[in-house]
Amino acid sequence: MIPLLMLMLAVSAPVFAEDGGSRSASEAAPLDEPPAGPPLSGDEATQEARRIASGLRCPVCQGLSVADSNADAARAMKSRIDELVTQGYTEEQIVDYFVDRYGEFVRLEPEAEGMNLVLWLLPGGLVLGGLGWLLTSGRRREDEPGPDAAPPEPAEASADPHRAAVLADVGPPPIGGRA
Amino acid sequence: MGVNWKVLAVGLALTVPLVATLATGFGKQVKAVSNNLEGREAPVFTMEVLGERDQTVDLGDLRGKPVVLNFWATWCQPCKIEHPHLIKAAQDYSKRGVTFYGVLYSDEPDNAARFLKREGQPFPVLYDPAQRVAIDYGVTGVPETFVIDRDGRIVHKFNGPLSYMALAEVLEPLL
Repeated sequence: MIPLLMLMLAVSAPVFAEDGGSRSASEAAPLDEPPAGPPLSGDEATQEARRIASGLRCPVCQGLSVADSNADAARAMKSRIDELVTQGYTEEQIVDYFVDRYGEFVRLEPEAEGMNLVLWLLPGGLVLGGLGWLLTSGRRREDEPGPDAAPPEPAEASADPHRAAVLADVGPPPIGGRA
Repeated sequence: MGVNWKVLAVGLALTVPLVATLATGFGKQVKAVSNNLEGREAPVFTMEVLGERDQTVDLGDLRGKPVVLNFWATWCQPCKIEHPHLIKAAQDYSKRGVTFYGVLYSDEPDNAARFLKREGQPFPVLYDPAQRVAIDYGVTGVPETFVIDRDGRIVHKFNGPLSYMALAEVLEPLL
């Protein structure tokens, strides 16, 4: 599956390049800020663009990343990412650009801030809390008498009025019998 | 049996934030379109006019006039529904200084030419073959319509088909 995707990406790369060439037909404004990184090219650019595209949600799909979708909108976004990567824009700048346009939902993984922090921290917190509970309850059980300890002294026979009444009728239990 | 306050407190501390997060999360539509750009400066662009090979439109040149920018496609049914409304709005508001442009989204120029010949062409349609401008405007589907004021600020975004009345309501204060 992955090699197939890579092959598709490699085959489609020249198409993206053509899209970039048709800039006279439609030209968007450059990003507000200059590229923060060095311009990338070749395999490095392809890999970086694919990595960034895997973290962005295809806006017209259901839970698919831009990298994994073949929808028209996703292909256009991929080509835009390619272009920005080759210009030297960093992942942060490119993701910010898309979040600016499409809103937070374009991120496949929610950012770890605000209410989202609960989602990020709760699973780990639950595991730690559970472990702590197991440890402390295990220690408490060690303090209690284990199964090898002598059984507690039986309560005084007279403590149970019914038992006392029965014993009075039938006499004491035979030796070795069940008390 | 007495209440175990410690267990209750720990249980509440765990479940209340979780339920609250899920409740707000499920309340949101995952596919909800963003109106992030409303109130902000419209991204500038240069686009070719469909059918006029060497004629281009530059948004920067349109400062001082309210602009209606309608992203559409011939394969989009809601676009057909709003088309008569756009024709009427363009008739009424072009006279009053509003500039209307369509932007063809993910479609072939030939299809657009046929559609406009059949249904009527109220305003020039611009061509955005690589969806550069659509991405810049955060377009997630068609139709989406942006209303830009004289200062080049996006004052309203219609997600889905608009009606004449709804558009008029947004345009009137800009005139």
